[in-house]
This record gives sequence, structure tokens and C-alpha cells, in this order.
Amino acid sequence: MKQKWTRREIARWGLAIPVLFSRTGVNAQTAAAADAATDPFAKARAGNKAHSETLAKIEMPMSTEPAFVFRA
Amino acid sequence: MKKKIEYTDDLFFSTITELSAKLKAREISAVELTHAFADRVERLGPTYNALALPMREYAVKRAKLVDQDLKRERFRGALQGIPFGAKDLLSVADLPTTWGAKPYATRTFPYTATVLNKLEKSGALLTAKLAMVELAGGGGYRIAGASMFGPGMTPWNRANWSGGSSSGSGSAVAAGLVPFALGSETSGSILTPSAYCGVTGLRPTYGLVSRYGAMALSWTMDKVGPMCRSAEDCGLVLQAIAGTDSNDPASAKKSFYYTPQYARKFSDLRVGFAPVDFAEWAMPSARAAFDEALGVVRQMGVQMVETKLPDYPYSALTSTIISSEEGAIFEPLVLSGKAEELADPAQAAGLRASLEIPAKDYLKAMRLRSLVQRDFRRLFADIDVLLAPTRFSTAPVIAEPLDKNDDAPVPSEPGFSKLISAGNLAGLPALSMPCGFVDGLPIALQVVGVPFSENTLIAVGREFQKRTAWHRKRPVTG
Repeated sequence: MKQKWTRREIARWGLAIPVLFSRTGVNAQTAAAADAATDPFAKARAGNKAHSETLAKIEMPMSTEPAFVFRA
Repeated sequence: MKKKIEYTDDLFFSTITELSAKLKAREISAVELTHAFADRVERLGPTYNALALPMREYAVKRAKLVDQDLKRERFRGALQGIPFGAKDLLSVADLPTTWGAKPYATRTFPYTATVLNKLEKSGALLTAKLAMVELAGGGGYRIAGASMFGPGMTPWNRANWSGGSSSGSGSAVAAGLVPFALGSETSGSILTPSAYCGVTGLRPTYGLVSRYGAMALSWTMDKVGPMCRSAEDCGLVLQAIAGTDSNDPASAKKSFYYTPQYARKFSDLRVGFAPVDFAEWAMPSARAAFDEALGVVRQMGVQMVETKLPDYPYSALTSTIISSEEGAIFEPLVLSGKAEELADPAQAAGLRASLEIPAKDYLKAMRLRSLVQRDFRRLFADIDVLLAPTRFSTAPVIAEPLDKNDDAPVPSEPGFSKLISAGNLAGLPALSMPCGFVDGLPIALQVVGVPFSENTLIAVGREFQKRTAWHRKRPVTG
């Protein structure tokens, strides 16, 4: 195993490790938030997911039908 | 002897009723009036990025016929001979209809929107198509410049946004470029530019006005409505454009007759409001002006009742429904890759993401929407209209992102902060009317009622405007 690290190597790994962890699921939420801040598609997707989770928490009777506009 | 026409601001900022009186008295002809407004909208429209398509020739041809009718005393109502503008999501046969979006810059349709045909029948003269936010905001826009016409500017300060998505309609009416305009609203697109530009706008009940020939953004939420100089003018225009249309499957098969005199007595009118809107949600510098406006409403003799909106996640509901429907509508645009030509990259991304929304989310949102409608019906058993600031702050600065305050802390009580989303979800009508100025920019109140209560809303607006002069204020134009 390598015993001596240069400053540059330390800096490079210091940046890369959190990214590696985030990509492997250790810190996926932080990564998603970071992506959303820079990538509009990720931001839109994260917004849709948040709305989906909000709606999923609400319970209602099975008999509640959608408010479609339909005229025969 | 015919009076010499004076093309002053007094003419350009006249209401429909005032212009109609001049036409009837033959102080000015419909052709002269059309040329006067066409000159103005062509000269000043680009100053505010408000003009999409000048239509002088189209209007003058029809104005000549109106003058023949007026000469023979064939009067067809207040709109006869009145020039107007229309948001560029309404099609006119064989003329460009861009929807404010570069991918559709040369698009034409072989038919004319029902509302424009109805206005033509009443003698109104389409003089210009007006700019708008691209795709009426489909996909979700984050910048004021989300339009092929550039950022809409409020005539009160060109550094500030006109609001969207009916941006050109708002600034053109405010700057006296047209006496009235048509806009459309899916969730705030008439009310917001009305507030930021200082004009009076009416969002009709869902289904009262045909959308045939209008761009679809959300079939279950889109509405077309007037943006004018006064509540009364909104009533006159709504009467002309409302009514059954077999070409619009959502048509409510109802007409509208402007008869505010038969609305409920003000002393019997119960007005629901949330004090937190005025004390905490409104931007600090606007609170005194909003309080003063609230005082004017109280002086009308109405019963003010503190109330709350039904508790639902309105933003999640609105966003899910609109995104799901716009995804289906604009799927071909996304798949063609042309959505990437939109001015705001957030919109292209939002449209792409909307294709992934699962059907279960859409259905859940539409089921909850049934409950929202039910709970609003219950709320309106005790209240006649709801009153709140249309927007809590003045027009944002164009140079800044529109979502820059999204993460700012908010008051603990929601008040009516989601009234625009909620009202649109429930299909309710709303009137926005100017109620003051803060740092030279207009602010406005919205009045919301039960479906088909437009006469009540207009009666409230008319009375408010009898007691105030905010709707008569004019910006300095070039």
C-alpha cells in the first residue's frame, strides 16, 4: 500500500470520495439535490417525485372518482 | 360638423363604454380608431415586447363594414368598432399563431378560434396578436425571458416583468395600446399579468368560454378571458365571448349576460378573507396599501368574515395535473427534439420530465380534485366571495430568476396563499383589480366566487372602482 501521498493526490481523492459514495447510494439524496441544483431535468424530476410522495400520503375512500370532464 | 379628433392619452386610455359613445356620436369612425390604435401598438408594442403580430389590414377591412353599419344606425352593442388584441395562442385562419415558442414560429391553422369569431360578430376589431410566455408556461418556466418575443415588460417600469403567461395582453392594455385584450389562464396566467400591469382581468368559470382554436396546455384547466381597463369592460367582453360551443367538449352550455345590477345587495354579501394574507404574506412595503384597499371593501357595507381555505396540497395537485396533461399534449414536440429550441431550458427539461409521471399520480390528483371541489362548495355555503391580494408582491425584476424566493421562509398560516391554484383546480371564476401602488408598481386584489358568479364578482369590482381611481392610473409611455 502506498505510504506517502502528495498534496495533489490527497486533494483529488478528497473530492472524489464523496462523489463515489453518493453514486453508490451512500449519499444518494445529497447527490440528487446537487444534481437538481445544476440540471433542470433532474430538478423537474425531483419536483415530480416530491409531488408524488405528497399525494401518496393522502388517504381517501375508494369511491372517490377523478374529476374528469365528460359529457356523453 | 364633425369634431376634430384628438389623439391624446384620453382617447387611448378610454374604456370600452367611452369609446363606444364616441363611435355612436360619430366623433370618430371605426377606421380612424383602428388606425390610431394600430399606429400605437405597432410603435410601442415592441418597447414592452408585447407585440406578436400587427393586424392593421385585417382590422381596417372589418372596420369599414362597421362604419357602414354605424352610418345606418345598426347598433350591435358596446364592442362594435372597438379595436382589441389577442394572446398569440388563439388562432386566426391562415395567419401565424406562434404560441410564443420558436418551434412554432411559422405555424398557421386553417381555422379561427371561436372567441375571435364571436368578437368579430359583435363588431370588435382584432388589431394585433400579443406576445406570451412560450407554450403558456408549459414545462414550468424560471425566467422572464421564456418567450420567443423576449421578456414581457410592465409599462410601469421596463426593468420589471409584465407577468405571464398572458404577458403581451397585460402590458398592451396597461400602456393603452389596445382598449382590451384576451388572455388565457391555466393557473394564474390572466390574474398575474393583470396584477403586475395594473389592469382588470377576469378568469371565467371553467367551461363558460370556448377554448376551440386556443393552444391546449391542460384540457381540464384552461380558460380564456378578458383583460380590460375596468370590471365593467370585463363584463361587456365576457358577454360577447361566453356561450355554448360544440367544438369545445368542456363547454358548460351556458351563456353570460352582464347584469351586475341584479347581483346580491352588498349588505348581504359575505366576503371571506384571511388576515394573515394582508399582515404577513404581503411584502412589507405593500401592507399599508393592501390594508387601505381592504378598508375600501369594508366601506362598501359587505360582511367581512375570517375564513380558511380547505386544506389540500394545492401546488402538488396543480403541478401533477398540468404536467401530466401537457406531457401528453407536447410529447411530439419533446420526441422531435424541438423542445430544446425553447428560450428557457427549464421548460424543455420540465416537458421531458412530465412524460415520466405515472398514471396513478395523475388519477390520484384528479380524485383529490373532486374533494377540493366538494369542499369549496361547502365553503361557499357560508361565504359569497373570497378576497385576497392577487399577488403578494409587485412585479419581479426581469434580470432575476423567477424562482429566486422559492426557498424563502413563509408565514406559519397558509391564509389564501394558494388561492390561484385552488381556484383554478375547482374551476372557479376570479376578478383581479388594481388596488394601489408600491414604489411605482401596481398591486391588486382578487375576488373569487362560486362557478358562474361572474356578475357578483364584477359588481364588487365595479363598486370598488367607483370608490377608487387605481384602474384609471396611466403609466408614462413613449
